Amino acid sequence: MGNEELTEQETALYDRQIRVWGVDAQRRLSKSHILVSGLRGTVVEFCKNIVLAGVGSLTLNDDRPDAIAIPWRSLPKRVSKLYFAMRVLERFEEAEGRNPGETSTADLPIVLKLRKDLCEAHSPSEAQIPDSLLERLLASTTEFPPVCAIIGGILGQEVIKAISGKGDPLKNFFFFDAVDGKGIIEDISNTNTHS
Amino acid sequence: MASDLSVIEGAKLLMVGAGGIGCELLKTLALSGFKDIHIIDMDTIEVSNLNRQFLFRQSHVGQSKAKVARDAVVRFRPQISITPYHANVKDPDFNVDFFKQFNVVLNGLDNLDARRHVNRLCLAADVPLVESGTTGFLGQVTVHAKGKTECYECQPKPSPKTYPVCTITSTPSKFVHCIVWAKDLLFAKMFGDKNQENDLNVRTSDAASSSEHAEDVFESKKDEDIEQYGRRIYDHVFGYNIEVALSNEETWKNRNRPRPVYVRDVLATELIQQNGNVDKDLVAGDPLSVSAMASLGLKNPQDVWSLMENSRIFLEALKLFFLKRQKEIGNLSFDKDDQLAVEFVTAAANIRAASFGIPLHSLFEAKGIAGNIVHAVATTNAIIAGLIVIEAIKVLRKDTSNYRMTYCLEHPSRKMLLMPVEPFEPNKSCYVCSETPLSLEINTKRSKLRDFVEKVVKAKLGMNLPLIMHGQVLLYEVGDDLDEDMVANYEANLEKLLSELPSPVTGGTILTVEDLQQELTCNINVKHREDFDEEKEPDGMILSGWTQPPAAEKDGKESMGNGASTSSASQAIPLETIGDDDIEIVPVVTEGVAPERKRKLSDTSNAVTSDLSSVEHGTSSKKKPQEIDDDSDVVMLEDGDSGISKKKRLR
Repeated sequence: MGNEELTEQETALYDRQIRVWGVDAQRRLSKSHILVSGLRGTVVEFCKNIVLAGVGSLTLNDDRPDAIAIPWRSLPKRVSKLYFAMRVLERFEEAEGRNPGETSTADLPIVLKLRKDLCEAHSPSEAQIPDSLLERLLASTTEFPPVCAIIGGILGQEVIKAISGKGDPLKNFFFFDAVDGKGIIEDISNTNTHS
Repeated sequence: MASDLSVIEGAKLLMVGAGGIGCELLKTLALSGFKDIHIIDMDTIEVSNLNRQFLFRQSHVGQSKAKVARDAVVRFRPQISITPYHANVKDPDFNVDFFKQFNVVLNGLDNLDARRHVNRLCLAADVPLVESGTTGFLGQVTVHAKGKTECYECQPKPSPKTYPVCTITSTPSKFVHCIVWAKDLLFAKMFGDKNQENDLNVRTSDAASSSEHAEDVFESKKDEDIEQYGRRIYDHVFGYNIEVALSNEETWKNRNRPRPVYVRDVLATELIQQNGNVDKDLVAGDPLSVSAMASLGLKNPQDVWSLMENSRIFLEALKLFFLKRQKEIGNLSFDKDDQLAVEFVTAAANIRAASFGIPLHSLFEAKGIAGNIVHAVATTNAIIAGLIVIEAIKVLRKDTSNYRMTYCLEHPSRKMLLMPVEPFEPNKSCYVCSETPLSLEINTKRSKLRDFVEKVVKAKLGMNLPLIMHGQVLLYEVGDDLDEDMVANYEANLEKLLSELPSPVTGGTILTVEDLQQELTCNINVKHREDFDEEKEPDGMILSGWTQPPAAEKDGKESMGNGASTSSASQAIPLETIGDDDIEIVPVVTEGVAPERKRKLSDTSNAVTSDLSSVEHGTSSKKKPQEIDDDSDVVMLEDGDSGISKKKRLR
């Protein structure tokens, strides 16, 4: 391993961000090693951000990412419509043996039926989860570069926080909808402290 | 979406700024399929840019940002057309006709001045403007469409912080006051233009001498070597000047008295003789690598030096300027990338701070303050760039009802890290987009035209190339094509009192002030007023009919700024305007009628219910159960798959 301190070159190069998170954080970043899996638009944006942050090394792995699902029962009592709709879709993909994102608007009839079932089980009225929302989620299988930049930026910030130890991690699920422009943090962790 | 693609491919965009936001924006635009982009930036690339302006590399330092950015993007999008301009956007070439060729203008600027200028040109050309800014983890994107939303100047922006002169020269209470003193007074006096007026006390006087005999301390004496000179300057500015200030009892009645500092108090005699190792550690040749820190072995810019160490740095830096950079003396202005200048200013500010009982700071901190450095990271710029492109597409699709002002927060507010807000209607009393007449109170018998031009027309009204008319008479104008007689005439007018101008300006006069490039015209009603409070109204003139920007530290006296107007202007809009309870989050209306832009309501109890609070506070949704419930983004879940009949939504 090299010197503990940042070199003069690094201090000059990272001056503007050292003024944000401090020298210690920058040092920790320079000693960190990142593994990235699955090279789609958002992840590529993230890679750019984390390299600019000054990490020690970056390893790229282009495998299929695993979907992370938690059982319905552990969801908090209050969730965004969009999140609920996304889970409907995920349930659909699971049931039909599709890969994540491998959907089209032709799937809408089956998805609507699934929505009916899930709403009955969990109480929101079907009217609260509009057809149009589900249709939009089914149709958007390609990436939209501005959204990649936004998610890649948020992801970059989270990883920098984790490595540097500075700043609270977001808790614990972030999503962005370009249609309404909101970037929302949902807490879908298992701790049931919601009222 | 298919309809998006055609507007994107047919669009012609102007980007102003190819820096932090600019690089991310150009990349995102290119990846999103835009084909014709023009980009203006007057700067060249510096090392400190490279942590976030990722289109640039070390090898590009010194080159034009606009050009290098273009070359970088063309490498991964060969079919794209990017036209770079290495120029200042305020240049007369970028006139209204130039702006008219674009469908939308995207700003990625770092100063208020240029933003105001572009705002006016966009209004004149009737081209929508997407504005943006970032500082650290904060950022915002705003949309400005003439006649439909506020223009960039409808809500006044805070102008750069200034400090009263006496605070800087006599009664500093914060470290920044010491920095301004060290940079704009001491450094300027010693190394800058000697003919420039300066508020530093430079004369010694003994009881008997009159002002003609008082000498300028900064002139070096015969037979005085550089070390002696340095110590004499030190004693004068940190010792003698403080004694002089202390002699005025009034000043210190309610303030802590400073203590004078002399070289003999701080440095042991042996050290005085052999301050630094001038010859040993220097890199030969390159003047910019000359450093007092290196010479004295003080390596870490993050260390807070003691009074003694600061004193040694001060004397060493002074010596190095005179020994190694003699030629530049008399012409130097402070540059944050000039290591020796930063060392000098840091040391001087710290010694003064020690004198006044103000905490000392490291070189790293001092440099940030003196250089108005904005802290910046790549991720915020990436997020903002994404948001800019989303708004730009809405503009191209003329999707007016969906325009949003979006704020990027460091900590979530009501679960939101990215918070969109509907734009407001134009401000009817905005003199930029609504042509409100203004009023000026001024003493027409004591103020010169020059005062009016500098303080009102350029500073307050932000005009670049103004034209001043009284009725049919042209009192003043700027331009390249003026003939000598006219120029002489205008110069003469500047020195005249308002009431003594060829076309006298008195109470009741209406002056018309214009900037042809910005296509901005202001009519000003002049009111004569005899007296102004020196403390509260130091300019001797009051402009009204126009909402004043909140300038923080103005306690009235003649002001001094801390360098260029970069930092405050590039920051995100102060968040006191968007506190937790003030946000009006308007739900999307389902009927398909564009919601009317509202004036922001200061009393939130009347505000439209926010999406999230309608569940929290139990206010009803007002809609019937069968309709699509768009009042809230949130649904309530009941546990389990037991199939119990659905409960009603929480009321």
